Amino acid sequence: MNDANLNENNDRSLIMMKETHGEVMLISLAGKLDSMTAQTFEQDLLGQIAQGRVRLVIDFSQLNYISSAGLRVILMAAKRIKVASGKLVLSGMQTHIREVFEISGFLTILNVLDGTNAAIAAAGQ
Amino acid sequence: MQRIELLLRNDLSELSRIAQAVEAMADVCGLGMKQSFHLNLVLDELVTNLVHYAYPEGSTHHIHLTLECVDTTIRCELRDQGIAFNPLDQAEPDLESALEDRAIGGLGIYFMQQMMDDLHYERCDNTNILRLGMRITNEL
Repeated sequence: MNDANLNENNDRSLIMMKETHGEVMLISLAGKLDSMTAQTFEQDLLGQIAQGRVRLVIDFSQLNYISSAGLRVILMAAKRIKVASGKLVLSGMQTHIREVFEISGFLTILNVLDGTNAAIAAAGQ
Repeated sequence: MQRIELLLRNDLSELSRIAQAVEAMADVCGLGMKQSFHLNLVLDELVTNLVHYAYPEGSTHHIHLTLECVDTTIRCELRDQGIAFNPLDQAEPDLESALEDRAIGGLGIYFMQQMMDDLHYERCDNTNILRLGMRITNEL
């Protein structure tokens, strides 16, 4: 836990909350990740990775909507984290969000867990 | 009300109007959460594509979206005067490569193919006309 840092975008439809757990950063998403909000999310997420934050959990439990624009950012992040020998774990997907990942063939290339605590533990290993 | 017509600008901020229209249509037609999400997603993907690619010269254009409930089907029609583009004639996306080789792109069109039941495209008088049907299931 600790230096929890609330980071609300200018765009009201996506909210990112960040929390550090030792080496792991937890990013909790709320709202919509679509072509309107994906760009801000991309800059923020890839910026974290560029700064060496390569043990990341993205929690989707408050995220209600994702489109291919959001999936694109997740894929880019996963590739960069892999190159940096880090770990990305996704957690808490609602059923309809998970279905989009499944249709996209993303469940076979990404680490997806139900619970956030388990995801934080997995990202730290 | 069984029919909603929207005149959208080629701007991503219009996605919220699509979401509102789908919600209104879902109430009227008894569309469940899952299918409402699918319908919103497919229309989002198509309009996002148009905003990004249909008007290479820029400037403001209009996209005409109609949603209609007929018996147990939602019928959608999208009309735009952008460059000719048949979304039914696109290659399948990469669903199988390993993470490092996975290509992104084509997923939005693929969602349309997976989530909608009837798909029809024609180019007529410099207009792309895409008609989509979704049969309403009783799934929540």
